[in-house]
Amino acid sequence: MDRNITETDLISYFYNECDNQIAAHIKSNLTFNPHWIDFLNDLQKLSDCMKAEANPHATSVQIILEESLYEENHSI
Amino acid sequence: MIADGVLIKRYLEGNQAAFEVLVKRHKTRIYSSVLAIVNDHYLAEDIFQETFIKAIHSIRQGKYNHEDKFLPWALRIARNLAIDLIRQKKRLPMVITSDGQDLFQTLNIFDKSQEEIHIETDEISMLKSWIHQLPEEQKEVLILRNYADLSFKEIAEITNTNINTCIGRMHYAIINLRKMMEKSSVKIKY
Repeated sequence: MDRNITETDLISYFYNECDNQIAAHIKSNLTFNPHWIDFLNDLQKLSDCMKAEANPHATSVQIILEESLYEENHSI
Repeated sequence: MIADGVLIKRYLEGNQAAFEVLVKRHKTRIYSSVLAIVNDHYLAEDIFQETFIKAIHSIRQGKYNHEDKFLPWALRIARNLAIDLIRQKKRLPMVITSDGQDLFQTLNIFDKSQEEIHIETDEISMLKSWIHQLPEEQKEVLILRNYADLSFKEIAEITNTNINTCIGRMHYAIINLRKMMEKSSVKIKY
């Protein structure tokens, strides 16, 4: 690697959107860089608290499905 | 798994079940993202419904040309609806009560309902409340990357920016969250 790893590189790495060469470099040097580990832990913590778990009410889904049917009939 | 583009094609051919699959596949990510943006269950339900209704109309008018990228496309619709609602909310006149508070905030019309109000003492709730204090563009990247699981490229397309800007916003969000954490007495454990 001819440049330093930045926190934005670590963000890309965490989300698997990193260049392969940079990803390999981060992976192999992780244990020597506690700052990287701290930063990746922060990202993991954020990701854990932002899981998509909320669901719309069943009525909302029903309204949407009825609308999709109506459009179909309406166009005929 | 049948691709989104195939489901939409089948729906256009008259297969209603195909559209139902599409709704069920994406409802949690879309609703969770909208809820995180507007922070109100009632508004989130309205935006969720409106998003799919707009999507239905566009699909049936033959305007859908995003192949298997239904989720980013639907989230762009949802995001625009949410922004419009937030703008409308900001345009409403502020009525100040005798103790100096905004009447609408006091009534909790736009934010959390009375049932939802609770003392946010646990770590996750605290982190979520900090996320809501972030600048909109930083919060938006966090929400679209984590709740919707969109790539930075897809987020850049939705927000009319570029990948570096999106990652930069994510970076600033983390810096700001760290500052909020340092100011708070609550420390988040790993």
